[in-house]
Amino acid sequence: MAPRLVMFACFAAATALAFYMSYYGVFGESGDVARSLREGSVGGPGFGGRVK
Amino acid sequence: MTAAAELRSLTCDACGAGQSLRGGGRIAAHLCLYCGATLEAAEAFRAMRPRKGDGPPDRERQARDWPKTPFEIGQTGEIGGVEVTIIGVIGRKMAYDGKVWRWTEHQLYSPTHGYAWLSWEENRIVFTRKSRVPPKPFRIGYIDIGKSESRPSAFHLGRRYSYYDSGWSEIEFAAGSFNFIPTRGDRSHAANLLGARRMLTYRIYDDRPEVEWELSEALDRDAVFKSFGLDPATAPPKRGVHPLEPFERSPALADLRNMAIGFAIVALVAAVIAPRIDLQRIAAADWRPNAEGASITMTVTDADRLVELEIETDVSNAWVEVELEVEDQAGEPVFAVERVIEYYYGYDDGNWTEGSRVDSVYFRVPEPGVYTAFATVGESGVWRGSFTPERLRLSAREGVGSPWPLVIAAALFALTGFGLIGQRILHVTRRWSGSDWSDD
Repeated sequence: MAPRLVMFACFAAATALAFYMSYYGVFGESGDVARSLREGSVGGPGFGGRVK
Repeated sequence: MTAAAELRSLTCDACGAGQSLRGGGRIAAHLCLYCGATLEAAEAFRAMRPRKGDGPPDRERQARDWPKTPFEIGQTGEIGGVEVTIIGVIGRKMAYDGKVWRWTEHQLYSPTHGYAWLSWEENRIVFTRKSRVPPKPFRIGYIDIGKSESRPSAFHLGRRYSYYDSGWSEIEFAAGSFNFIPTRGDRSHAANLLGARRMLTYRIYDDRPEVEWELSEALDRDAVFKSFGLDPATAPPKRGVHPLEPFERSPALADLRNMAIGFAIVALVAAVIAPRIDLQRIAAADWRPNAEGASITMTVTDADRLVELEIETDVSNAWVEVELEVEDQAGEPVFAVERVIEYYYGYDDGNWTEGSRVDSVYFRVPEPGVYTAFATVGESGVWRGSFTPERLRLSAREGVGSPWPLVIAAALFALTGFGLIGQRILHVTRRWSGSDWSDD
């Protein structure tokens, strides 16, 4: 019985973690936005390379 | 009762060796353990002249040819709750296409259940008993197999069996007591049909017209070893999968499979629901690109979740660059990106489309507050026809989630669950891999 409960708890915990990440959109940010934020640059071809 | 039922020991009158006689009243012969002489019950266990193939009694040959087996004549154990004794050993050989297979058969005797066989083949233990219930069809011989256009099958006691392999085998060695008279060189043809757990064998002898039916099943080797007083740790390793080897899975792995598939379904359903909880539109604006520019003002209340900025254009068989910039309330830029939106369609053996008129940008703001998104149309190009960007729609939603963590979790769970199901399928495939049937 105990291994079954442990297994259930592990699956439930993994699902709960994935639900939390999904709810808060982890990995959901657009790649180009993340790059722009990381580099502190808002410069694109049309923006003349302005820096935040 | 015949004499064999009462006689408990005898002396071989060919070599003078004393030995025990086991096996009840239907024993037809005892083959001397030391010299191989055949002592027939019908002749009061006196040594007869050698039968064809046997050659004269020979102690050296008997010792040299004794087949490989962990069991000994006289050992007693329990099979299926029935106490049985090993009363005889036979070494068999099958040769085909330059290859030779050898295995050892042990005649078993139970005072309550009669005679059966325990085979030691490919380091596994197979239990075989004869069946008096005829299968359908009644007979499958080598001629039937040769003429059959599809894999032969049979029904026996409500179970279905499909052809596995067949071949002629011959006795190479015999010692001990038997309910028939084994002779070196005796040949029989076995057509083996495999069922879910058992094998049905049609056995035909080259000097007899009748067919015998046998049912075989693999036994738990460790349990049989223990029952016969052998140490399972001394058993040689098994290689590959024997056709009779049942698929065994621990209850814990069955639980793991069920839970993995159950939670994969839960995670998939949650992947649809989670990103939409508290989702709300916070701004929308239609815009014509000929104007100076488009902007929408968004009031973001939850900075922990994603904001989606959706751009929809009327692009048609063309592409257009859209530059997006988001500023905070103080007018400081948060980020800027550029997207190319393209959409094509046509007819080529059916309608086709490529690309999309809609694109989305997902981002997280540093803190709740009012933000402004600006959009500017840059260059554009036409693939077919003419196109001038006329209309662009900008809208924003907050409280956006991402299905991917749950989708990834569901995929991993499903992989685990279906991997365990695949294990069974793989086992079945490996069980049948030794079949000699070919549809060609």
